[in-house]
Amino acid sequence: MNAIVKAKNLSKRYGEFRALDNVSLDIKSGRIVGLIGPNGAGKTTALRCLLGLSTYDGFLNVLNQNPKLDRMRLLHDVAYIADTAVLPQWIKVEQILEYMQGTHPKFNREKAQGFLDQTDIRATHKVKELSKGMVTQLHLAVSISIDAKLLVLDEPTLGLDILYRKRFYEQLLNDYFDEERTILITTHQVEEIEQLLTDLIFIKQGRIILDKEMDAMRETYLEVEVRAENFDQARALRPISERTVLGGAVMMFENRLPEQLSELGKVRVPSVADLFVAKMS
Amino acid sequence: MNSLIVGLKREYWEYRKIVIGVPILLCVFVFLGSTISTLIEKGMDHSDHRHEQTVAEVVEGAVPDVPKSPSDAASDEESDSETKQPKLSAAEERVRAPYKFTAIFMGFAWLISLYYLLGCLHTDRKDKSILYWKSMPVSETRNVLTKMLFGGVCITAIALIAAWAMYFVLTVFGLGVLNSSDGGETWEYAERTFSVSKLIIWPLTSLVLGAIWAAPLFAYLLMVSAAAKRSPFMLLVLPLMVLLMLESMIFGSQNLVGSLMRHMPFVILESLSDSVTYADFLHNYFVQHGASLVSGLVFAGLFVAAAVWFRNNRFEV
Repeated sequence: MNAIVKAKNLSKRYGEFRALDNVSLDIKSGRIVGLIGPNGAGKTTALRCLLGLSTYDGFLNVLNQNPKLDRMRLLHDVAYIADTAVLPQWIKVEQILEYMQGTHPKFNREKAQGFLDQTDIRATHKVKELSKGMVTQLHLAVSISIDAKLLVLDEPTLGLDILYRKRFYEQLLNDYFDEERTILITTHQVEEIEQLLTDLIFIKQGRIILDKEMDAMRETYLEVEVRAENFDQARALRPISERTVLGGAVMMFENRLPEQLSELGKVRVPSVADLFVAKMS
Repeated sequence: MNSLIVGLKREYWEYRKIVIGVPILLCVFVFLGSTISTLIEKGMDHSDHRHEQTVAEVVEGAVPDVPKSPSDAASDEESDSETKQPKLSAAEERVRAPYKFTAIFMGFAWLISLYYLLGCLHTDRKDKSILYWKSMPVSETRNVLTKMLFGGVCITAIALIAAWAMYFVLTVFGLGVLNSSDGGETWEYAERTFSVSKLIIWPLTSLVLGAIWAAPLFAYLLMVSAAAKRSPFMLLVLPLMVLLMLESMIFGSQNLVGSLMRHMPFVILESLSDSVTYADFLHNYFVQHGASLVSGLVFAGLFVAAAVWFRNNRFEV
């Protein structure tokens, strides 16, 4: 599979602060990639570099375009949702559709209208009249109606209730994703997208600290509920994290065989959230 | 072309209330004003001569004054003495009534333009919707030029259409109705003062040349709007005041700020209105003020480039 995003030694500075520090990564087509990191880790900066919204140092190629030089051409094939509240408040739904039809050569108005017909959003509604969840539905509907090869989502469900969040990700999978298209998503609600992801990237202080396919991640990291009497034996295997639970401790190991760990306690694959906490601390 | 039209429509959607609302409000005021004054005059049973004056007064009295700086006024006096134009006769002044009528609307429209251009590149950064607009394949150069076109031409064009519609209502319907009671004298007045040239060609000339003449000012406002972190108005006023003070203290002049103020679009309305002929005006505009016109366009280009740079590089408030 071809890499649609290639970054090598990508750096971005704001004065003395290094928002991105020699980031190198490849993202292949037909993947759903989670870019996960704490606040201020450089997620949004990385996405903005990818979209040509920010200057940077190093090599970056997105869909065979240089984002700095070919931003307009790049945006024909990239759709972008930044945050949940960036649609202008004064605009009507029908005006958004008309504007996108007039400016985006790959926007399909009928398709967007079809998506909106399944919701309570009407063409005459103004954005300011919609709830936060409905605004997100609207933004997703118009974004996935663009025949884009890459969809970039920056905290798209922040502040939404569980129903809207679930509906959002369901629609993303059912109505947009296929093996030709790639989704790059940043979020703090990692447990909700865990089942969606095919690739996982952790970023901390502008550096990539983990970049793996989910299958490889499940083989690399294992978690064991260690009984108290096995603590010394388990610690000798150098766990990457340890947390106390009732009656023992849960330890996470990197590159250890399940057979090695099974005698210490119950072995399981860690959740992305637990792995995130382990890698960040 | 399609994306340019959609871009202009987007500006219209966002600012529809003010772009349409102000001309409509003006229409209402003009209609009520002229109707009430005419009815009062008729009620007092004044002569036809008095009545004729009243209609002219309604039109002429509402033409906005053009603000002038002291140095501007001084230079005007000098240039007046050099290129003194013959004073217009009362009859010629009356023939200009249709132009002066449209000038009222255009003057107000330019005030809206100044307000629009100062805010249009700031509001979408303030409400973060710039991130949505930036997700569209539209360059910032195109965005800024579209806003310049809308602020410089479209707003005035909408007001001009409202003025024509109102003029039509006042003359054909309003004065026509009065004919039934005054034996057609009012209608004759309307016919005598009507001129396609004064009603259509002169205002259209003002619209186009006003936009070109004021281009440096319009572009400067766009640049301020694109650069402002908090208040575009403060960013507009404070540096100009500091410049004005420094220049006054050091050189004893006010040329820097004065040259920007001289490029107010209202200057065109007054200039055309004071010209004896259309050809005089064009000569005055392109020959006598040609250097100022060209240098203004150069500055306009620089300010637009700066606005585009700010949009590309410092778009977050």
